[in-house]
Amino acid sequence: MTAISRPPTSAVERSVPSASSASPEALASAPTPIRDVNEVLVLKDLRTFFFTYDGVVRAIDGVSFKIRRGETLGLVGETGCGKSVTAFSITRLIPDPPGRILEGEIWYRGANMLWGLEREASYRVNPRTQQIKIKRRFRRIKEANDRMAAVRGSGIGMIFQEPSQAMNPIFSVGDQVGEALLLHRGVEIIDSLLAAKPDAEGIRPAIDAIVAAHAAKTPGELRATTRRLGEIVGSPSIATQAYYLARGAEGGSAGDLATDIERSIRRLKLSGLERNYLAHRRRLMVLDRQRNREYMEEMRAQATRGSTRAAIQRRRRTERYSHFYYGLWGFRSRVGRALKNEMFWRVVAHLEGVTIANPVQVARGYPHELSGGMLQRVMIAMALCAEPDLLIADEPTTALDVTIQAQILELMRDLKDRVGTAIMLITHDLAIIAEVADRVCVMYAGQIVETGLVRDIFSRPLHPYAQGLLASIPRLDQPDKELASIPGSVPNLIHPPEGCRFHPRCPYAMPICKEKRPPTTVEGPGHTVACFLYEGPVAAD
Amino acid sequence: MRMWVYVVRRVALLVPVIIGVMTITFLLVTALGPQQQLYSAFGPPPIHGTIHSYNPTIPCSEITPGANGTCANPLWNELAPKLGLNQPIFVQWGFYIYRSFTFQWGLVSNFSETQGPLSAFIHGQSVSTVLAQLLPYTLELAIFSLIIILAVAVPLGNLSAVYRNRPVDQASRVLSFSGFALPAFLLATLLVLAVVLVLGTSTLVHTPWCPGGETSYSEITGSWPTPLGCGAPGGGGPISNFYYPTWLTYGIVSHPTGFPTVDAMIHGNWWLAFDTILRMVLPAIVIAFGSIAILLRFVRNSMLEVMNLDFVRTARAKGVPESTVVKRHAGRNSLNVTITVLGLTFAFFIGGFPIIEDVFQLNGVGYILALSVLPGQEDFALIFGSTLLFTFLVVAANIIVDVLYAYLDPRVRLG
Amino acid sequence: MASAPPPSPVSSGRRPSPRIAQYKRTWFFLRRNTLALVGLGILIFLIAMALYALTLPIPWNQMDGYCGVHLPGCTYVCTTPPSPPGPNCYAVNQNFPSFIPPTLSTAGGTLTAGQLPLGSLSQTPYSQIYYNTLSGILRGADWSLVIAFSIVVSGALIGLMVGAIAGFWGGAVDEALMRLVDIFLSIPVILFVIITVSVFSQFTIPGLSPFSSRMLLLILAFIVVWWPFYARIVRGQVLVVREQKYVEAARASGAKKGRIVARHVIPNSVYPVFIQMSLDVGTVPLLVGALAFLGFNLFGLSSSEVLPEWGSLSAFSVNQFDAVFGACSVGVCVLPWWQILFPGLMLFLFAISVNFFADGLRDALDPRLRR
Repeated sequence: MTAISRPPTSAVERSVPSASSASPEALASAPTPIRDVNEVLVLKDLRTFFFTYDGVVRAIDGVSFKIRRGETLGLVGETGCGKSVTAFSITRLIPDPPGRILEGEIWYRGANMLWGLEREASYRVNPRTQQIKIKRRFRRIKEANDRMAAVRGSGIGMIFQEPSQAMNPIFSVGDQVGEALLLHRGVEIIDSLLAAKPDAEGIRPAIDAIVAAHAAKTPGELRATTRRLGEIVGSPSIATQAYYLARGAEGGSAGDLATDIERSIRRLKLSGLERNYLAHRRRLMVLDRQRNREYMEEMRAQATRGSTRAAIQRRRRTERYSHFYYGLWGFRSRVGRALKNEMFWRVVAHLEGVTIANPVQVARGYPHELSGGMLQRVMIAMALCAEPDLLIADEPTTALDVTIQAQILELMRDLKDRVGTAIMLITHDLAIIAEVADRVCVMYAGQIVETGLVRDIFSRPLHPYAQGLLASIPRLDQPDKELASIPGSVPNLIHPPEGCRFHPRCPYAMPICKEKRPPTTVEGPGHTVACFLYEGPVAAD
Repeated sequence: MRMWVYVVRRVALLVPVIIGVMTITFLLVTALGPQQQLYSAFGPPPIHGTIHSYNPTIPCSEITPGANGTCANPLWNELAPKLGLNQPIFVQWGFYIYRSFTFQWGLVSNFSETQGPLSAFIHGQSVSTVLAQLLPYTLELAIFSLIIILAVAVPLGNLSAVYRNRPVDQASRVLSFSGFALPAFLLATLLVLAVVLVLGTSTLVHTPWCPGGETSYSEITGSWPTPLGCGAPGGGGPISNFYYPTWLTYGIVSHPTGFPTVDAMIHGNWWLAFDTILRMVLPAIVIAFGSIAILLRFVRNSMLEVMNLDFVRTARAKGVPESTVVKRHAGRNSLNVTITVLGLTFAFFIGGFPIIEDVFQLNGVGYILALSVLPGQEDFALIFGSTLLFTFLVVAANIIVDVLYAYLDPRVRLG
Repeated sequence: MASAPPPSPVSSGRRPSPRIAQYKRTWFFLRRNTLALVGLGILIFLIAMALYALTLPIPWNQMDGYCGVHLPGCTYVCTTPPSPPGPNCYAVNQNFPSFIPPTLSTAGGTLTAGQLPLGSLSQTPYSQIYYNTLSGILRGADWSLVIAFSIVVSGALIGLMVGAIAGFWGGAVDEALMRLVDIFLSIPVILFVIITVSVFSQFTIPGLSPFSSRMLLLILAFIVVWWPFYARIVRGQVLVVREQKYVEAARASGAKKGRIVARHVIPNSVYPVFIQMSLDVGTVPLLVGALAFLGFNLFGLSSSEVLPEWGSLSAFSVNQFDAVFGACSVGVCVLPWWQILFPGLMLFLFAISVNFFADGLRDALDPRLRR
């Protein structure tokens, strides 16, 4: 996989000074951006509540952590402690009625993605009943959602818990992965498609080499020869296509293989109409990218830049007419066949990257035909299409059995080593954390109680809850030991306990724990805890 | 290949339903009594053409049966065995099922006195022929209405779901419920009145179309072009404000498909085709107005349900723009319920629109049915024949709906 | 900005039983739905009107204010030079307040200012009988509601039983019953009602007047058509409820099938029935009106009376339209618009209020719409 490359900024953007429309007062009171390039994601004081019929569920109440480039952060806690809500809050996938991100900052690439949050809704507290009534401004919420499209997928990817439910049942797997690929890498793909040279020199000998490698049954040679063909033609998808044609070809028929490869190369010859169509699609994608960059700039500058965004929208609107022309049914299906074909083989290549053994069948299949483990790999492939900085994995293996779990974790570790994506791994299984994570955050009832390196937390848990968690793991070397558990049950998040939320179940509870919420203190290098038992320096965040 | 198996299986499941409906009509027919059964099957005596004297007012049960168990009435002796009337009821049922499946539904026997030029023409004709000639008109109207309903209800339902409980949602609900709550005959009449008052006599509501023939009793509404009536042999033609098609006025009419619009286009008579469609506009609006509410409700609920499913969230997390998520991912998945309701609505439409066709003086099976059920002058052959026809059509609609399911949802096809 | 979280008690108090809680929850959501509240309000108003009508001294099968030509107790009021009974003359009954209705002319007409003609008289199509529109509407409330509720409730009960049995027992019983339901669903509603009434109107039920027997026949025909809808809905719901844990628990603790069905399955599958019932209550009077439009005079052919029911009244009025137009003299036509508008308006209000309410109920009760 290629290194991450940022699209170049346009002249328009360079000429317009940032935060031009922000008033001096707003600038003065704006939170200082954290520009540490080593940190991919910074959460500060995130608060997400759900306004339901039964009351206001305080799902997350002041969560802060950082994720550095390339590290794997584990988010651990019982069911219902708010881990998934945190993940969804980061990418703003919380269903807005009834949920609501109340306050907080989420810094990504120097932009606070929660900018403008206070303008999206207004709150009123009834002093008598202490109930919060909320009035949403749906237009601003929609704008915020549109802004997030700049980040989702391309900057932050997500995979979910039940892979069989998480995919659309009426589209094939290849279609869905292809959609993500086209969305984020469409411009490059179309460029390569337009630049392909189906009449280049040296195609014939390359095909012969492939046929020879196929006859000789050497997989390494097959790979190399097909790759060379791809380089000659100038289209990597031809390499994939040739490879699988060879793999699929039975026994002798060398002549058939050659003709098949030639036919697929001939399909790269595009008519003028097809070129126009591809150029048109490319224009739309470029406009979308520009718009996404606009959004990112807005979030960085914390001010709306109306002028250029309006210009982009105007341009896109004019392109819509030609889009209608191209989109006439039947027309597009004929003209766009080259693109569809290209996308299919790109998807196959992409699926190879997540160690799927038979990517062609998988890409052609439907979600209900594939197993959970396979689907989870596909989801990972889908999330990594755009090579995001951060991959959020929400309980990726909970719905899978243990052997598949091991494979998925192996895959994730491999990705971490190869590509250097930061991973935020959410789970309730400590074993997975021990295997894959670098650092851990322990959550309880919507708050983070302890953070630190995996090594530190596992060997020296500080917070009583973390201690209870680790003590409750059954140990093979002490078979007669009684199973320990934490007494009590998870609190009701509509009426959570005051002060430290763990105090009703804590064996070391002190009077102050009932009154005030404990501050987060630093107890070691990178090891913070929120408990009144410890009196280290308060953490800087 | 799998598709064929699926279709055949669906058809096979529906055959018992058809037989069940036939049984019900059979029971009803039997309840009418043997004399009525004879009438319905073979028409009243003068039309049947027999030279035997026959006193229709004396039912056979009052005539002493002969020594060998047959009735002394000669006509009865001749015709009763054809229906199995002197055999146990199970045999009669068998005869009935056979005749129903082979489209021998009887003769139109009671239409000589009812109003309208149509009735004079169809008196004595075979029920299945009459219905077959009238059905295309109703089908055209049904399809036209369905198109309007689809075009309005589906987008509006999607919008209502996406902007739930916001002004669009409330307004669309109020509008569609108004359509539903207004009785069709009221709306139709008011609409006709409005058109006449506001536009004067317009092409939407035509002057009567029989050149030189009797005008319809109402100055307001007109009739569809049809060969079946107007007294003149071979039929008359429409009078439109634009064009006077000569071939119709001279009574040369050929109907390759039976569908008036299609036939007009086949003949190259574009004004006639346009005219026909124009006549359908008002009735289709009335029909659609009443049915949009139902479909809208289902589209909205189905869409709401789908938008809460997991894969919609995945699509958003991929970075797909919201409009595409709604249209492509959620929209196609919510089509299942839409198609079911569409099929049900179509089946409901197949019942004919007796009221609409009555008010707008259109030809169609509903209109015929309305004429045939006037108390005191009922034509049971036509009534029961219509029932069977409607059943066949409903079953066909069900099959089409199932096939559409299989096309849209691969899980149904393969699983 | 959100303020600090309010002080919270450690644990909540006693929670009410689940079913009561569900009713409260439903009411909470209904309260927030303005359309449903409007519908409920109109519905209550109409029911109050029907109850009020019960106290009036109007015979149950007629409307008061019948002033036949030259009957005592009637006086005539004319807008143009008097010549009773002419197009501009109206018979006025002492018992009910009546006003001279403004006329609507077809010649590019204007509506002359006048009083609300609710008390004014309308004419039946078959003879020169005038009736008081207000009394017609009041009586109509009774009739429409009675017919609608009896049909819907009976149909729902039958459908509930059939659907519950089919869904719970499953197997051959389910298949057979569902085929039966399919058969009935294949027959169009109006058609079947018409056929049944036509076929069976030759039989009279002993002990009842012809009118009563025809009315009963009509209601029975509707019920026979209506129950399959409910059966199908209930069966679908029972299939889901059957898999729930509490049914399994009940079976494991030894309860007999009948008891399980009665105590667990039915109460939990009933909510879509409520919704459908509330919708159908609004649809039935529309269908009765449609039937009347097609000529189903319950009093028999060419009778001088008309059933004082909203649907029938508006249908007859509409049917009379053409005759009125045809009888236009040169110049100005008199269109008794009130006899078309008011019964139709009542019908419309009833149907739409019921629909709003049912819609709100559906939104409040559907567990699949996440809140």
